[in-house]
Amino acid sequence: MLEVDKISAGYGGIQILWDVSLNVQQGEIVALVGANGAGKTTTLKTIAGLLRQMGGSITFESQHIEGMAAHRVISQGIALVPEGRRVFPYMTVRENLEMGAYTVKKKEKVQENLEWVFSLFPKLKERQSQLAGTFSGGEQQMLVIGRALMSRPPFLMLDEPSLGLQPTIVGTVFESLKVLHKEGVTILLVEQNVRKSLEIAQRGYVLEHGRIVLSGDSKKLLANEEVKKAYLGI
Amino acid sequence: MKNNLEKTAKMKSKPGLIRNVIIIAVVLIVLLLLPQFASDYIIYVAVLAMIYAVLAGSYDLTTGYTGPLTFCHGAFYGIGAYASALLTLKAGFPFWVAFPVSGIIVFLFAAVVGYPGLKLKGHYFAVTTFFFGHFIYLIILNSVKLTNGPMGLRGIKPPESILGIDFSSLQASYYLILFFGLLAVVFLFFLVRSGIGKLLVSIRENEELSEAIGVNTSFYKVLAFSTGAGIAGLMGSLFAHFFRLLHPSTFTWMTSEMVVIMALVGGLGTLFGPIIGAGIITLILELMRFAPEYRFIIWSAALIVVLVIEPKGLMGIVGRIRGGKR
Repeated sequence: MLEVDKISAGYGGIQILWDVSLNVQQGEIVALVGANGAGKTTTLKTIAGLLRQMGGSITFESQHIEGMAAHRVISQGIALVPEGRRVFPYMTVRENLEMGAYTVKKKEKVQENLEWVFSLFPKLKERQSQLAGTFSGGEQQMLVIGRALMSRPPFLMLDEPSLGLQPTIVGTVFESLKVLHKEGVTILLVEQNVRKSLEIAQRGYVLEHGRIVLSGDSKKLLANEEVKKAYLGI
Repeated sequence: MKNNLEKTAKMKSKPGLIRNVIIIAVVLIVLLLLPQFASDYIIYVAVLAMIYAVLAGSYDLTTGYTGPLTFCHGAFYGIGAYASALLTLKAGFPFWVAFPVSGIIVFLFAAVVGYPGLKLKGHYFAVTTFFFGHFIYLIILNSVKLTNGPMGLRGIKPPESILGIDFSSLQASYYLILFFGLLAVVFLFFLVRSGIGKLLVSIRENEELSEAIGVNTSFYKVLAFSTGAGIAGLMGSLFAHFFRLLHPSTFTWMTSEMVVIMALVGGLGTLFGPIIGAGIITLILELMRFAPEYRFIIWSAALIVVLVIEPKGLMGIVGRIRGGKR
Protein backbone atom coordinates (compact mmCIF):
# COMPACT_ATOMS: atom_id res chain seq x y z
CA MET A 1 0.00 0.00 0.00
CA LEU A 2 2.75 2.42 1.01
CA GLU A 3 6.24 2.03 -0.35
CA VAL A 4 8.97 4.31 0.92
CA ASP A 5 12.20 3.88 -1.00
CA LYS A 6 15.47 5.31 0.27
CA ILE A 7 14.25 8.72 1.31
CA SER A 8 16.50 11.32 2.84
CA ALA A 9 15.18 14.43 4.50
CA GLY A 10 16.12 17.10 6.99
CA TYR A 11 15.62 20.64 8.16
CA GLY A 12 17.51 23.60 6.79
CA GLY A 13 20.47 21.72 5.38
CA ILE A 14 20.84 19.35 8.33
CA GLN A 15 20.10 15.87 7.12
CA ILE A 16 18.11 13.72 9.53
CA LEU A 17 17.02 10.74 7.46
CA TRP A 18 19.48 8.64 5.51
CA ASP A 19 18.05 6.25 2.92
CA VAL A 20 15.05 5.18 4.94
CA SER A 21 13.05 2.46 3.22
CA LEU A 22 9.93 0.85 4.54
CA ASN A 23 6.67 -0.53 3.26
CA VAL A 24 3.21 -1.11 4.64
CA GLN A 25 0.88 -3.71 3.16
CA GLN A 26 -2.90 -3.45 3.10
CA GLY A 27 -4.46 -4.48 6.39
CA GLU A 28 -1.29 -4.34 8.46
CA ILE A 29 -0.26 -2.50 11.57
CA VAL A 30 3.37 -1.55 11.14
CA ALA A 31 5.33 -0.01 13.99
CA LEU A 32 8.22 2.38 13.45
CA VAL A 33 10.08 2.55 16.72
CA GLY A 34 13.20 4.23 17.97
CA ALA A 35 14.61 6.54 20.58
CA ASN A 36 13.98 10.25 20.88
CA GLY A 37 15.54 12.11 17.95
CA ALA A 38 15.95 9.04 15.76
CA GLY A 39 13.91 10.65 12.98
CA LYS A 40 10.52 8.98 13.45
CA THR A 41 8.48 12.15 13.26
CA THR A 42 10.59 13.38 10.35
CA THR A 43 9.77 10.19 8.47
CA LEU A 44 6.02 10.70 8.97
CA LYS A 45 6.18 14.37 8.07
CA THR A 46 8.04 13.53 4.90
CA ILE A 47 5.46 10.93 3.90
CA ALA A 48 2.63 13.37 4.63
CA GLY A 49 4.24 16.07 2.51
CA LEU A 50 4.74 18.47 5.41
CA LEU A 51 8.45 18.26 4.72
CA ARG A 52 10.18 18.07 1.34
CA GLN A 53 12.32 14.97 0.88
CA MET A 54 15.86 15.47 -0.39
CA GLY A 55 15.95 12.21 -2.26
CA GLY A 56 14.23 8.89 -2.72
CA SER A 57 10.68 8.06 -3.69
CA ILE A 58 7.38 7.51 -1.91
CA THR A 59 4.51 5.69 -3.55
CA PHE A 60 1.03 5.21 -2.18
CA GLU A 61 -1.25 2.75 -3.97
CA SER A 62 1.35 2.71 -6.77
CA GLN A 63 1.14 6.48 -7.20
CA HIS A 64 4.09 8.74 -6.60
CA ILE A 65 3.36 11.16 -3.76
CA GLU A 66 6.83 12.51 -3.03
CA GLY A 67 7.06 16.26 -3.37
CA MET A 68 3.26 16.65 -3.25
CA ALA A 69 1.80 19.37 -1.03
CA ALA A 70 0.31 18.04 2.20
CA HIS A 71 -3.29 18.79 1.28
CA ARG A 72 -2.94 16.71 -1.88
CA VAL A 73 -1.34 13.78 -0.06
CA ILE A 74 -4.18 13.78 2.45
CA SER A 75 -6.74 13.70 -0.33
CA GLN A 76 -5.11 10.50 -1.64
CA GLY A 77 -6.47 8.72 1.44
CA ILE A 78 -3.71 9.11 3.98
CA ALA A 79 -4.61 10.49 7.37
CA LEU A 80 -2.07 11.78 9.85
CA VAL A 81 -2.45 12.08 13.60
CA PRO A 82 0.31 14.53 14.49
CA GLU A 83 2.38 14.38 17.63
CA GLY A 84 1.24 15.98 20.84
CA ARG A 85 -2.55 15.49 20.78
CA ARG A 86 -3.16 18.59 18.76
CA VAL A 87 -6.76 19.66 18.81
CA PHE A 88 -8.24 23.01 17.85
CA PRO A 89 -8.82 24.12 21.44
CA TYR A 90 -11.38 26.85 20.74
CA MET A 91 -13.54 24.63 18.58
CA THR A 92 -16.09 22.22 19.94
CA VAL A 93 -15.55 18.47 19.76
CA ARG A 94 -17.99 18.25 16.92
CA GLU A 95 -16.33 21.07 14.99
CA ASN A 96 -12.97 19.38 15.46
CA LEU A 97 -14.40 16.17 14.05
CA GLU A 98 -15.99 17.98 11.12
CA MET A 99 -12.64 19.57 10.31
CA GLY A 100 -11.29 16.05 9.93
CA ALA A 101 -13.83 15.38 7.21
CA TYR A 102 -12.52 18.33 5.26
CA THR A 103 -11.58 16.22 2.24
CA VAL A 104 -15.00 14.54 2.20
CA LYS A 105 -17.23 16.52 -0.10
CA LYS A 106 -20.61 14.83 0.42
CA LYS A 107 -22.65 15.99 3.41
CA GLU A 108 -24.33 12.61 3.98
CA LYS A 109 -20.96 10.89 3.97
CA VAL A 110 -19.72 13.29 6.67
CA GLN A 111 -22.75 12.47 8.80
CA GLU A 112 -22.22 8.75 8.24
CA ASN A 113 -18.55 8.96 9.22
CA LEU A 114 -19.51 11.03 12.25
CA GLU A 115 -21.88 8.28 13.38
CA TRP A 116 -19.13 5.74 12.84
CA VAL A 117 -16.62 7.70 14.94
CA PHE A 118 -19.26 8.22 17.65
CA SER A 119 -19.92 4.48 17.69
CA LEU A 120 -16.19 3.83 18.14
CA PHE A 121 -15.80 6.52 20.80
CA PRO A 122 -19.17 7.00 22.52
CA LYS A 123 -17.62 9.51 24.92
CA LEU A 124 -17.10 11.94 22.06
CA LYS A 125 -20.80 11.80 21.27
CA GLU A 126 -21.79 12.60 24.84
CA ARG A 127 -19.56 15.65 24.90
CA GLN A 128 -19.77 16.83 21.31
CA SER A 129 -20.60 20.44 22.14
CA GLN A 130 -17.79 20.84 24.67
CA LEU A 131 -14.72 22.89 23.69
CA ALA A 132 -11.88 20.56 22.80
CA GLY A 133 -9.40 22.56 24.88
CA THR A 134 -11.23 21.60 28.07
CA PHE A 135 -10.66 17.88 27.49
CA SER A 136 -8.13 15.83 29.45
CA GLY A 137 -5.08 14.42 27.69
CA GLY A 138 -6.58 10.99 27.09
CA GLU A 139 -9.85 12.44 25.82
CA GLN A 140 -7.98 14.74 23.46
CA GLN A 141 -6.09 11.76 22.07
CA MET A 142 -9.40 10.00 21.41
CA LEU A 143 -10.65 13.13 19.70
CA VAL A 144 -7.52 13.40 17.57
CA ILE A 145 -7.83 9.78 16.45
CA GLY A 146 -11.55 10.26 15.86
CA ARG A 147 -10.82 13.34 13.78
CA ALA A 148 -8.32 11.45 11.64
CA LEU A 149 -10.99 8.81 11.03
CA MET A 150 -13.56 11.31 9.82
CA SER A 151 -12.29 11.07 6.27
CA ARG A 152 -12.64 7.28 6.60
CA PRO A 153 -9.05 6.88 5.48
CA PRO A 154 -7.80 3.54 4.21
CA PHE A 155 -4.41 4.42 5.68
CA LEU A 156 -3.71 6.05 9.03
CA MET A 157 -0.37 7.31 10.35
CA LEU A 158 -0.05 8.05 14.05
CA ASP A 159 2.78 9.97 15.63
CA GLU A 160 3.38 9.03 19.28
CA PRO A 161 -0.24 8.60 20.33
CA SER A 162 0.80 7.47 23.83
CA LEU A 163 3.20 10.33 24.53
CA GLY A 164 2.54 12.05 27.84
CA LEU A 165 -0.50 9.99 28.73
CA GLN A 166 -0.93 8.28 32.07
CA PRO A 167 -0.28 4.52 31.86
CA THR A 168 -3.89 3.39 32.25
CA ILE A 169 -4.94 5.58 29.32
CA VAL A 170 -2.06 4.39 27.16
CA GLY A 171 -3.70 0.95 27.29
CA THR A 172 -7.00 2.41 26.11
CA VAL A 173 -5.35 4.17 23.18
CA PHE A 174 -3.69 0.97 21.99
CA GLU A 175 -6.97 -0.91 22.41
CA SER A 176 -8.68 1.65 20.20
CA LEU A 177 -6.00 1.12 17.54
CA LYS A 178 -6.80 -2.59 17.55
CA VAL A 179 -10.46 -1.76 17.02
CA LEU A 180 -9.55 0.44 14.06
CA HIS A 181 -7.46 -2.32 12.60
CA LYS A 182 -10.44 -4.66 12.83
CA GLU A 183 -12.47 -2.05 10.98
CA GLY A 184 -10.04 -2.44 8.11
CA VAL A 185 -7.78 0.57 8.55
CA THR A 186 -4.13 0.05 7.68
CA ILE A 187 -1.91 1.69 10.28
CA LEU A 188 1.63 3.02 10.42
CA LEU A 189 2.40 3.64 14.06
CA VAL A 190 5.35 5.68 15.26
CA GLU A 191 6.12 5.11 18.91
CA GLN A 192 8.65 5.42 21.67
CA ASN A 193 6.71 2.83 23.61
CA VAL A 194 8.48 -0.02 21.88
CA ARG A 195 6.94 -2.93 23.73
CA LYS A 196 3.31 -1.88 23.44
CA SER A 197 3.54 -0.92 19.80
CA LEU A 198 5.36 -4.08 18.74
CA GLU A 199 2.75 -6.08 20.64
CA ILE A 200 -0.10 -4.81 18.50
CA ALA A 201 1.86 -4.59 15.23
CA GLN A 202 2.54 -7.36 12.76
CA ARG A 203 5.82 -5.94 11.59
CA GLY A 204 8.22 -3.34 12.85
CA TYR A 205 11.12 -1.16 11.86
CA VAL A 206 13.74 0.17 14.24
CA LEU A 207 15.10 3.60 13.41
CA GLU A 208 18.42 4.77 14.85
CA HIS A 209 20.13 8.06 14.00
CA GLY A 210 18.04 8.42 10.88
CA ARG A 211 18.71 4.95 9.52
CA ILE A 212 16.66 1.76 9.61
CA VAL A 213 18.83 -0.65 11.59
CA LEU A 214 16.43 -3.54 12.11
CA SER A 215 13.19 -4.69 10.61
CA GLY A 216 10.95 -7.69 10.45
CA ASP A 217 8.26 -9.61 12.24
CA SER A 218 7.33 -7.80 15.43
CA LYS A 219 7.37 -10.97 17.56
CA LYS A 220 10.92 -11.61 16.42
CA LEU A 221 11.90 -8.00 17.06
CA LEU A 222 10.52 -8.24 20.58
CA ALA A 223 12.68 -11.31 21.14
CA ASN A 224 15.74 -9.74 19.55
CA GLU A 225 18.57 -9.34 22.05
CA GLU A 226 19.62 -5.88 20.81
CA VAL A 227 16.10 -4.56 20.90
CA LYS A 228 15.64 -5.97 24.36
CA LYS A 229 18.80 -4.34 25.61
CA ALA A 230 18.37 -0.98 23.91
CA TYR A 231 14.63 -0.38 24.18
CA LEU A 232 13.00 -2.77 26.58
CA GLY A 233 15.52 -2.49 29.38
CA ILE A 234 15.86 -6.20 29.93
CA MET B 1 -5.52 29.90 28.10
CA LYS B 2 -7.84 28.28 30.62
CA ASN B 3 -9.58 31.58 31.31
CA ASN B 4 -10.01 32.27 27.65
CA LEU B 5 -11.39 28.80 27.09
CA GLU B 6 -14.00 29.32 29.77
CA LYS B 7 -14.94 32.66 28.31
CA THR B 8 -15.23 31.30 24.81
CA ALA B 9 -17.32 28.45 26.14
CA LYS B 10 -19.67 30.97 27.72
CA MET B 11 -19.88 33.05 24.58
CA LYS B 12 -20.66 29.99 22.51
CA SER B 13 -23.21 28.59 24.92
CA LYS B 14 -25.26 31.80 25.28
CA PRO B 15 -26.54 32.89 21.91
CA GLY B 16 -28.88 35.58 23.31
CA LEU B 17 -30.41 35.87 19.87
CA ILE B 18 -33.33 38.14 20.75
CA ARG B 19 -31.17 40.65 22.57
CA ASN B 20 -28.71 40.77 19.68
CA VAL B 21 -31.50 41.32 17.19
CA ILE B 22 -32.82 44.20 19.29
CA ILE B 23 -29.36 45.80 19.54
CA ILE B 24 -28.82 45.51 15.80
CA ALA B 25 -32.29 46.90 15.07
CA VAL B 26 -31.70 49.94 17.31
CA VAL B 27 -28.31 50.63 15.71
CA LEU B 28 -29.84 50.32 12.24
CA ILE B 29 -32.69 52.67 13.05
CA VAL B 30 -30.30 55.27 14.46
CA LEU B 31 -28.07 54.99 11.38
CA LEU B 32 -31.04 55.25 9.04
CA LEU B 33 -32.54 58.27 10.76
CA LEU B 34 -29.27 60.06 11.49
CA PRO B 35 -29.25 62.38 8.44
CA GLN B 36 -32.78 63.54 9.32
CA PHE B 37 -31.77 65.25 12.53
CA ALA B 38 -27.98 65.44 12.63
CA SER B 39 -25.80 68.31 11.46
CA ASP B 40 -23.50 67.99 8.45
CA TYR B 41 -20.54 67.66 10.75
CA ILE B 42 -22.07 64.69 12.55
CA ILE B 43 -22.87 63.08 9.22
CA TYR B 44 -19.22 63.41 8.18
CA VAL B 45 -18.11 61.82 11.42
CA ALA B 46 -20.65 59.03 11.01
CA VAL B 47 -19.41 58.32 7.49
CA LEU B 48 -15.83 58.10 8.73
CA ALA B 49 -16.94 55.83 11.55
CA MET B 50 -18.76 53.53 9.11
CA ILE B 51 -15.78 53.37 6.76
CA TYR B 52 -13.42 52.59 9.62
CA ALA B 53 -15.86 50.02 10.98
CA VAL B 54 -15.79 48.12 7.70
CA LEU B 55 -12.00 48.49 7.47
CA ALA B 56 -11.59 47.02 10.94
CA GLY B 57 -14.09 44.26 10.18
CA SER B 58 -12.36 43.28 6.96
CA TYR B 59 -9.01 43.48 8.73
CA ASP B 60 -10.35 40.99 11.27
CA LEU B 61 -10.73 38.42 8.50
CA THR B 62 -6.96 38.05 8.19
CA THR B 63 -5.60 38.86 11.60
CA GLY B 64 -8.56 37.90 13.77
CA TYR B 65 -9.81 34.79 12.01
CA THR B 66 -6.84 33.48 10.03
CA GLY B 67 -4.01 34.59 12.31
CA PRO B 68 -1.26 36.50 10.48
CA LEU B 69 -0.70 39.94 11.97
CA THR B 70 -0.63 42.59 9.25
CA PHE B 71 0.05 46.32 9.24
CA CYS B 72 -0.92 47.39 5.74
CA HIS B 73 -4.70 47.58 5.69
CA GLY B 74 -4.51 51.34 5.27
CA ALA B 75 -2.41 50.85 2.13
CA PHE B 76 -5.09 48.70 0.51
CA TYR B 77 -7.64 51.33 1.47
CA GLY B 78 -5.40 53.93 -0.20
CA ILE B 79 -4.84 51.91 -3.36
CA GLY B 80 -8.61 51.48 -3.69
CA ALA B 81 -9.20 55.20 -3.18
CA TYR B 82 -6.58 56.32 -5.70
CA ALA B 83 -7.46 53.60 -8.20
CA SER B 84 -11.10 54.62 -8.19
CA ALA B 85 -10.34 58.35 -8.33
CA LEU B 86 -7.87 57.95 -11.20
CA LEU B 87 -10.16 55.62 -13.13
CA THR B 88 -12.87 58.27 -13.08
CA LEU B 89 -10.65 61.34 -13.46
CA LYS B 90 -8.04 60.18 -15.97
CA ALA B 91 -9.70 57.26 -17.74
CA GLY B 92 -13.18 58.74 -17.68
CA PHE B 93 -14.95 55.70 -16.29
CA PRO B 94 -18.18 56.26 -14.37
CA PHE B 95 -18.09 55.63 -10.63
CA TRP B 96 -20.23 52.53 -11.00
CA VAL B 97 -17.48 50.91 -13.05
CA ALA B 98 -14.53 52.32 -11.09
CA PHE B 99 -15.99 51.20 -7.76
CA PRO B 100 -16.06 47.43 -8.41
CA VAL B 101 -12.92 47.59 -10.55
CA SER B 102 -10.94 49.26 -7.77
CA GLY B 103 -12.05 46.47 -5.41
CA ILE B 104 -10.90 43.84 -7.88
CA ILE B 105 -7.59 45.63 -8.46
CA VAL B 106 -6.86 45.68 -4.74
CA PHE B 107 -7.95 42.04 -4.39
CA LEU B 108 -5.53 40.95 -7.12
CA PHE B 109 -2.81 43.23 -5.83
CA ALA B 110 -3.10 41.73 -2.35
CA ALA B 111 -3.02 38.23 -3.83
CA VAL B 112 0.21 39.03 -5.66
CA VAL B 113 1.74 40.44 -2.49
CA GLY B 114 0.24 37.82 -0.20
CA TYR B 115 1.20 34.74 -2.16
CA PRO B 116 4.94 35.07 -1.57
CA GLY B 117 4.55 37.17 1.58
CA LEU B 118 2.40 34.71 3.48
CA LYS B 119 5.09 32.08 3.20
CA LEU B 120 6.82 34.12 5.89
CA LYS B 121 5.76 33.26 9.40
CA GLY B 122 4.69 35.40 12.33
CA HIS B 123 6.70 38.55 12.97
CA TYR B 124 8.49 38.36 9.65
CA PHE B 125 5.26 38.72 7.75
CA ALA B 126 4.07 41.49 10.08
CA VAL B 127 7.25 43.49 9.49
CA THR B 128 7.00 42.90 5.73
CA THR B 129 3.45 44.26 5.65
CA PHE B 130 4.48 47.27 7.70
CA PHE B 131 7.11 48.26 5.17
CA PHE B 132 4.86 47.34 2.27
CA GLY B 133 2.27 49.77 3.64
CA HIS B 134 4.85 52.51 3.95
CA PHE B 135 6.14 51.74 0.46
CA ILE B 136 2.66 52.24 -1.01
CA TYR B 137 2.36 55.55 0.82
CA LEU B 138 5.69 56.69 -0.65
CA ILE B 139 4.58 55.68 -4.13
CA ILE B 140 1.34 57.63 -3.78
CA LEU B 141 3.25 60.60 -2.39
CA ASN B 142 5.95 60.66 -5.06
CA SER B 143 4.14 59.68 -8.24
CA VAL B 144 3.30 63.32 -8.73
CA LYS B 145 2.32 62.99 -12.38
CA LEU B 146 -0.23 60.33 -11.62
CA THR B 147 -1.50 61.08 -8.14
CA ASN B 148 -0.60 64.77 -7.94
CA GLY B 149 1.53 63.77 -4.93
CA PRO B 150 1.49 66.04 -1.87
CA MET B 151 -0.78 68.57 -3.63
CA GLY B 152 -3.59 66.07 -3.38
CA LEU B 153 -6.07 64.91 -5.95
CA ARG B 154 -9.00 67.27 -6.44
CA GLY B 155 -12.19 67.37 -8.38
CA ILE B 156 -13.25 63.78 -7.85
CA LYS B 157 -16.88 63.46 -8.86
CA PRO B 158 -19.66 62.09 -6.73
CA PRO B 159 -21.26 58.84 -7.93
CA GLU B 160 -23.55 59.36 -10.93
CA SER B 161 -27.22 59.20 -10.14
CA ILE B 162 -28.74 55.78 -10.49
CA LEU B 163 -32.39 54.69 -10.32
CA GLY B 164 -33.25 58.35 -10.10
CA ILE B 165 -31.24 58.87 -6.91
CA ASP B 166 -28.90 61.83 -7.06
CA PHE B 167 -25.75 61.33 -4.96
CA SER B 168 -24.47 64.88 -5.00
CA SER B 169 -26.13 65.69 -1.68
CA LEU B 170 -24.49 64.79 1.59
CA GLN B 171 -27.49 62.80 2.80
CA ALA B 172 -27.70 60.66 -0.32
CA SER B 173 -23.96 59.91 -0.19
CA TYR B 174 -24.37 58.97 3.44
CA TYR B 175 -27.03 56.42 2.56
CA LEU B 176 -24.87 55.07 -0.24
CA ILE B 177 -22.00 54.41 2.16
CA LEU B 178 -24.39 53.01 4.76
CA PHE B 179 -25.78 50.63 2.16
CA PHE B 180 -22.42 49.28 0.98
CA GLY B 181 -21.07 49.26 4.52
CA LEU B 182 -23.94 47.08 5.68
CA LEU B 183 -23.54 44.87 2.64
CA ALA B 184 -19.86 44.37 3.48
CA VAL B 185 -20.66 43.56 7.11
CA VAL B 186 -23.35 41.07 6.11
CA PHE B 187 -20.94 39.47 3.63
CA LEU B 188 -18.23 39.19 6.29
CA PHE B 189 -20.74 37.85 8.81
CA PHE B 190 -21.78 34.99 6.56
CA LEU B 191 -18.21 34.38 5.41
CA VAL B 192 -16.81 33.85 8.91
CA ARG B 193 -19.70 31.58 9.82
CA SER B 194 -19.38 29.51 6.67
CA GLY B 195 -17.25 26.43 6.15
CA ILE B 196 -14.50 28.69 4.86
CA GLY B 197 -14.62 30.66 8.11
CA LYS B 198 -14.04 27.44 10.06
CA LEU B 199 -11.05 26.61 7.87
CA LEU B 200 -9.60 30.06 8.53
CA VAL B 201 -9.98 29.56 12.27
CA SER B 202 -8.29 26.17 12.02
CA ILE B 203 -5.31 27.86 10.36
CA ARG B 204 -5.18 30.44 13.14
CA GLU B 205 -5.34 27.82 15.86
CA ASN B 206 -2.77 25.46 14.42
CA GLU B 207 -1.54 25.89 10.91
CA GLU B 208 0.48 22.70 10.68
CA LEU B 209 -2.35 20.64 12.07
CA SER B 210 -4.76 22.24 9.65
CA GLU B 211 -2.41 21.28 6.84
CA ALA B 212 -2.14 17.75 8.19
CA ILE B 213 -5.92 17.47 7.96
CA GLY B 214 -5.72 18.34 4.31
CA VAL B 215 -6.51 22.05 4.20
CA ASN B 216 -4.65 23.98 1.52
CA THR B 217 -3.55 26.53 4.09
CA SER B 218 -1.52 28.78 1.80
CA PHE B 219 -4.50 29.17 -0.54
CA TYR B 220 -6.91 30.07 2.23
CA LYS B 221 -4.48 32.48 3.85
CA VAL B 222 -4.09 34.36 0.58
CA LEU B 223 -7.85 34.21 0.02
CA ALA B 224 -8.60 35.76 3.43
CA PHE B 225 -5.88 38.39 3.00
CA SER B 226 -7.04 39.38 -0.48
CA THR B 227 -10.74 39.39 0.38
CA GLY B 228 -10.12 41.67 3.36
CA ALA B 229 -7.93 43.88 1.18
CA GLY B 230 -10.54 43.99 -1.59
CA ILE B 231 -13.18 45.19 0.85
CA ALA B 232 -10.75 47.85 2.11
CA GLY B 233 -10.24 48.88 -1.51
CA LEU B 234 -13.99 49.26 -2.01
CA MET B 235 -14.16 51.41 1.11
CA GLY B 236 -11.32 53.51 -0.29
CA SER B 237 -13.32 54.07 -3.46
CA LEU B 238 -16.37 55.16 -1.44
CA PHE B 239 -14.18 57.46 0.63
CA ALA B 240 -12.69 59.07 -2.48
CA HIS B 241 -16.07 59.81 -4.03
CA PHE B 242 -17.61 60.96 -0.77
CA PHE B 243 -14.94 63.48 0.24
CA ARG B 244 -13.98 64.17 -3.41
CA LEU B 245 -10.46 65.03 -2.34
CA LEU B 246 -7.55 62.67 -1.75
CA HIS B 247 -4.31 63.36 -0.02
CA PRO B 248 -1.47 60.87 0.60
CA SER B 249 -1.44 61.73 4.30
CA THR B 250 -4.77 59.90 4.71
CA PHE B 251 -2.98 56.65 3.89
CA THR B 252 0.15 56.74 6.03
CA TRP B 253 1.11 53.93 8.37
CA MET B 254 -0.96 55.72 11.02
CA THR B 255 -4.11 54.65 9.20
CA SER B 256 -3.02 51.02 9.15
CA GLU B 257 -2.08 51.30 12.79
CA MET B 258 -5.46 52.79 13.65
CA VAL B 259 -7.21 49.85 12.04
CA VAL B 260 -5.05 47.40 13.98
CA ILE B 261 -5.76 49.20 17.24
CA MET B 262 -9.49 49.42 16.54
CA ALA B 263 -9.58 45.69 15.94
CA LEU B 264 -7.54 45.00 19.08
CA VAL B 265 -9.70 47.21 21.26
CA GLY B 266 -12.86 45.66 19.87
CA GLY B 267 -11.58 42.10 20.18
CA LEU B 268 -9.84 40.20 17.40
CA GLY B 269 -11.65 37.30 15.81
CA THR B 270 -15.13 38.45 16.81
CA LEU B 271 -16.02 40.52 13.71
CA PHE B 272 -18.49 42.73 15.60
CA GLY B 273 -15.83 43.66 18.14
CA PRO B 274 -13.59 45.44 15.61
CA ILE B 275 -16.64 47.05 13.99
CA ILE B 276 -17.86 48.44 17.30
CA GLY B 277 -14.30 49.31 18.34
CA ALA B 278 -13.82 51.29 15.14
CA GLY B 279 -17.06 53.18 15.66
CA ILE B 280 -16.22 54.08 19.25
CA ILE B 281 -12.64 55.09 18.52
CA THR B 282 -13.61 57.30 15.59
CA LEU B 283 -16.12 59.07 17.81
CA ILE B 284 -13.61 59.51 20.63
CA LEU B 285 -11.03 60.89 18.23
CA GLU B 286 -13.54 63.39 16.92
CA LEU B 287 -14.74 64.40 20.37
CA MET B 288 -11.16 65.14 21.29
CA ARG B 289 -10.52 67.44 18.37
CA PHE B 290 -10.04 70.30 20.83
CA ALA B 291 -6.74 68.73 21.88
CA PRO B 292 -5.41 67.08 18.75
CA GLU B 293 -1.91 66.58 20.13
CA TYR B 294 -3.09 64.80 23.22
CA ARG B 295 -5.77 62.55 21.88
CA PHE B 296 -3.40 59.86 20.65
CA ILE B 297 -1.61 59.79 23.98
CA ILE B 298 -4.87 59.53 25.86
CA TRP B 299 -6.32 56.74 23.85
CA SER B 300 -3.05 54.85 23.50
CA ALA B 301 -3.19 54.74 27.27
CA ALA B 302 -6.82 53.62 27.00
CA LEU B 303 -5.73 50.85 24.62
CA ILE B 304 -3.13 49.58 27.07
CA VAL B 305 -5.66 49.61 29.88
CA VAL B 306 -8.24 47.70 27.83
CA LEU B 307 -5.74 45.07 26.76
CA VAL B 308 -4.31 44.60 30.24
CA ILE B 309 -7.78 44.18 31.71
CA GLU B 310 -9.18 42.08 28.89
CA PRO B 311 -7.06 40.63 26.05
CA LYS B 312 -10.20 39.83 24.12
CA GLY B 313 -11.03 43.53 23.96
CA LEU B 314 -14.48 45.02 24.30
CA MET B 315 -16.16 41.79 23.23
CA GLY B 316 -14.37 40.03 26.07
CA ILE B 317 -15.61 42.62 28.54
CA VAL B 318 -19.14 42.26 27.20
CA GLY B 319 -18.84 38.48 27.49
CA ARG B 320 -17.67 38.84 31.07
CA ILE B 321 -20.62 41.04 32.00
CA ARG B 322 -23.04 38.61 30.37
CA GLY B 323 -21.38 35.60 31.92
CA GLY B 324 -21.64 37.12 35.38
CA LYS B 325 -18.80 36.37 37.74
CA ARG B 326 -15.72 34.63 36.46
